[in-house]
Amino acid sequence: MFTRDLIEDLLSKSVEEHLHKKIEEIEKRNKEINAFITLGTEEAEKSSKEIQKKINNGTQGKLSGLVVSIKDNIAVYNTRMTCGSKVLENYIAPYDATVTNLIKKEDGIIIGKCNMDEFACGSDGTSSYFGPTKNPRNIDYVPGGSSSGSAASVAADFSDLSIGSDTGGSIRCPASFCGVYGFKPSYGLVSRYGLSDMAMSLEGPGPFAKDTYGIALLLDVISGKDPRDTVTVQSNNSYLKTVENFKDGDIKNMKIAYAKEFFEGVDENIKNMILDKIGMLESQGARIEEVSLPNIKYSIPIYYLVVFSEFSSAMSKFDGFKYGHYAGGQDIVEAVSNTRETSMGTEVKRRVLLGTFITMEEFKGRWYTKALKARSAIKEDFKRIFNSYDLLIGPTMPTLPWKIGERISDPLAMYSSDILTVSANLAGICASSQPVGEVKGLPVGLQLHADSLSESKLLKGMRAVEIACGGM
Amino acid sequence: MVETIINDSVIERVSEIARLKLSDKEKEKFREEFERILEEFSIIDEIKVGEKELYYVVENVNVLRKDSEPKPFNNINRIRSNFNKIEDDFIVVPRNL
Amino acid sequence: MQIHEDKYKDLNLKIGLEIHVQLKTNQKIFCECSSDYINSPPNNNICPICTSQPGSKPMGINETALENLLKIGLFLGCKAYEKPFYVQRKHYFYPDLPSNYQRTSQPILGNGVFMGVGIWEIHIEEDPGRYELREGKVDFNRSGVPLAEIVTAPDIKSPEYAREFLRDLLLSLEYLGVIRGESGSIRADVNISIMGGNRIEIKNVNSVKGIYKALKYEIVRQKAVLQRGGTITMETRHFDEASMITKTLRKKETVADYRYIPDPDLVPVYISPEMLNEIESVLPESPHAKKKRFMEEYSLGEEIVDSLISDLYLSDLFEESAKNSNPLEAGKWCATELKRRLNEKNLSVSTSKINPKHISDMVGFIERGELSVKNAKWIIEDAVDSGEEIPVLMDKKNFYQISSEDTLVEIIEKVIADNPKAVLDFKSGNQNALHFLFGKVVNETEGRAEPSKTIKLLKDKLCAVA
Repeated sequence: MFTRDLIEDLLSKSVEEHLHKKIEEIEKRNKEINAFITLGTEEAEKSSKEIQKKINNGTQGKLSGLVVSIKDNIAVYNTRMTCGSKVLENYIAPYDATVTNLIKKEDGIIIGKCNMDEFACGSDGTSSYFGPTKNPRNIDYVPGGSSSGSAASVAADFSDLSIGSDTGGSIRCPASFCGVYGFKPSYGLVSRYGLSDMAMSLEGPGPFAKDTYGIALLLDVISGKDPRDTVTVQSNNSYLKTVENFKDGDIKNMKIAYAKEFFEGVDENIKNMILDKIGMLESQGARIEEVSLPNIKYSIPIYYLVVFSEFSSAMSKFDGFKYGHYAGGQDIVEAVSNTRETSMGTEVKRRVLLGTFITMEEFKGRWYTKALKARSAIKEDFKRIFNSYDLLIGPTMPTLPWKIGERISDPLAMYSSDILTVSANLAGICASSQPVGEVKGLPVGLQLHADSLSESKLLKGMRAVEIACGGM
Repeated sequence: MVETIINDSVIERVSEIARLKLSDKEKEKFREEFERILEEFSIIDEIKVGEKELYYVVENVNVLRKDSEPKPFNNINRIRSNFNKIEDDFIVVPRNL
Repeated sequence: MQIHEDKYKDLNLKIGLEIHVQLKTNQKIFCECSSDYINSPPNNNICPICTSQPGSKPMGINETALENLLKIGLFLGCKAYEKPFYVQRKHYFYPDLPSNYQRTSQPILGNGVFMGVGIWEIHIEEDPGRYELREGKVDFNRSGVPLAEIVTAPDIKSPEYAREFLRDLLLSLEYLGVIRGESGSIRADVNISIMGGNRIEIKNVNSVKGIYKALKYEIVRQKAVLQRGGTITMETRHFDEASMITKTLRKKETVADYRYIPDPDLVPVYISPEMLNEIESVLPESPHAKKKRFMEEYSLGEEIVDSLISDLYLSDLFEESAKNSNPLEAGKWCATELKRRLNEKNLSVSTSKINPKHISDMVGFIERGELSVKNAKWIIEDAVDSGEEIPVLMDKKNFYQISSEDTLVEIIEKVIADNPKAVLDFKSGNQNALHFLFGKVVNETEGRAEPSKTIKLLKDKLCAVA
């Protein structure tokens, strides 16, 4: 059911009933799909009753009882927050993240905390300490990562909406693989306060939904300046209006670019599907042109070098003394080493070690500093494009979802699957993924990029594609 | 080309600085992986870089905070209940004699 | 020339300090917890930010902390750098550091001078919590309190001068209202080299007295090493408060690698000229300006002025007292005796009972010959301790000198009349008789006869006697 209709439904029928339907689905299929690490059905029940009262006297918030799931690296007060890791297996968050607070304020019902790749270090949803999440569309396949549970919960109808986080594609990738809508807001538009840090200059929370309307609705709720995060900027908080006011004819005014590098090495079927959609948009009056993003091939190294450095810094806090798993030892050095060694997964360790290495004084200039200088090049590339175009269009992922267990050990292979998504994070711009069809029963995602803080343009583009694909 | 050969002593030092105890098998595995990964990543040498590092993608500057009356946090017990070991309100950790 | 510099002249002492003072604010540097943590039970003055909970982020830098730091820099004659500064992450694992990195900024101001010692740079950072090593206990109440770090050039040439430097610096910062804690509340890393040798760093000394003692000990220790034919290698040491000695802390070949990166969570800060002008306009007179003015307005010598201006409370007291007395005398007494007494008793102008009227009264009595210089030194000590008015103290101690000619002549004539034999002895050339007669006059006046006037009058009278 489309989100707008859902709300109407909620307002006229019962919030509790709506919630129970979700709980039913969860009971039926979550054991198999493993989208949740922690469920909060009791809390949800309580909230639903309170929200019903508000609806009855017309004082409900924008979310009106919609069911929202939240990635387990985002704090919900008094609820376990594991980041998909043994490190925080029993950690209870003592505060609400800003996005959590905003969702509660607008009467979203928080149903549970979603499974994820450990500390957001992964692109397929299989590296969680709590077991892999399965793709609801085909449980033999990966759901994508790192916000695997978030995407799966929307795809499996365990929730209406979800909040994930995107550092290098962690919202868009699982959105693409699970066949749902996922949105990476411009850096700074949504507060990161309460999001366990992975790569601070790249990441931020973002919405999952079943349609553009749902994305815009949730974006209105969670975006805006927050004194608890100094990088945040003002939001006009009128994204829903933008989507509602979109008329068919608006497509004619759009200047859309597609980068040839974004189609290199992409699965033929995916390529054809995307080109097909581009053709549709063109036939409806959009201006389509090919452009070049010559530095894309450097985006993976630049991205991962930045990630390694920032991640190793972010992970320093885990020593077991204040929270989390603790292994103990003879002295403060041994205790900390033992603790970290016995609680962190392989990919996490790999990134911490590499990050430590490339920020050491004698190696810093060669790797860390150079990567940061090169990062400007990526930002400049996009600036150039968006001077002349409103949107950049292309596929979200170079391949279809792979079978669970198919790609395990080689880190480089895992990293390379992010080739189409990391640049947006390096430049700080906004990007989205939406389902446009399937191949062999597996969903295909179309990705749009727009300039930093141009969410309205991006949402209009999403709406245009949605309509072109026969949505609403 | 990776100028730095990542030898055992480097891995040893990295593991010490990062407080990550590694078994010999792990050390070797990581050593080999790092060489491969950094070899692959040395492609960034080709890119023409400017002079300045890009540390921040937003343009915010001078985000300062007014020093008003203190606002004590209202869920201190929740923070304390996560402490590994507490005694007389102190967090207990190994001694450093 | 710094005090006691000559005592260590052959050692070519180079002492530099990295001084940490807590900035006076309501809230901590990156969160809204109180920065007044002293009376809080352990781990009660905390929040997700200053305990580094997963997902927590620093809030914008406390504005007042930054302003107070700028005041310190401007007072010390520093200039701000033209470009924005970042807060960096300094990584090291230690139980009192909740993130296992400390947020510390790049230099904000630099190139100043205070008491003849160069100020290299000043920057802002967060205080860690407290880790009691011996007990294995950690308390995060202090974590996140704003600190200013003041880094001096190695221009200090004696432990005594280091002590005076720190004392006056802290008093002045307290006067400016920019630091918290009793003056004496300070932490410093101390760097010392002797005879052009390697630099030794003594980390984390917690008091001015400790800094003095640590330096004294190091000098003795290093001299002994060199005498035995050894060399001083660069190392980091720790000062043990209990035994008053320094011990080796880190003798690794490699220096610690803190892997500094700009903190991505804190956007850069730019100190504009306008901001600085606004702050400068509310600051009291800079030491540089005050020195010039004191030398011109009061015709005081440079050494006296230097001693006065570094302690703002003292210079205020001097100026007040100079309104009602001879500035040259007032200045001399404030800069030497008063300052010495306060140092000895570990007091400051504001914590003792001394006031400007004490000085101006005292100077008046001295100039009128009613108070001897020797007794004045006692009077100052009493005034510092008790705060009683000078005339009252002089009465109590019987310090009033008689220097009125009429009174003295009367007594002298009486003494001469009572001691004819001594007069005759004097007349025959016996100088001792003069002293004897002088002693008699002193007795008659209970010691209050003003000596030089008495001698002169006595001589005159004796000569007049046939």
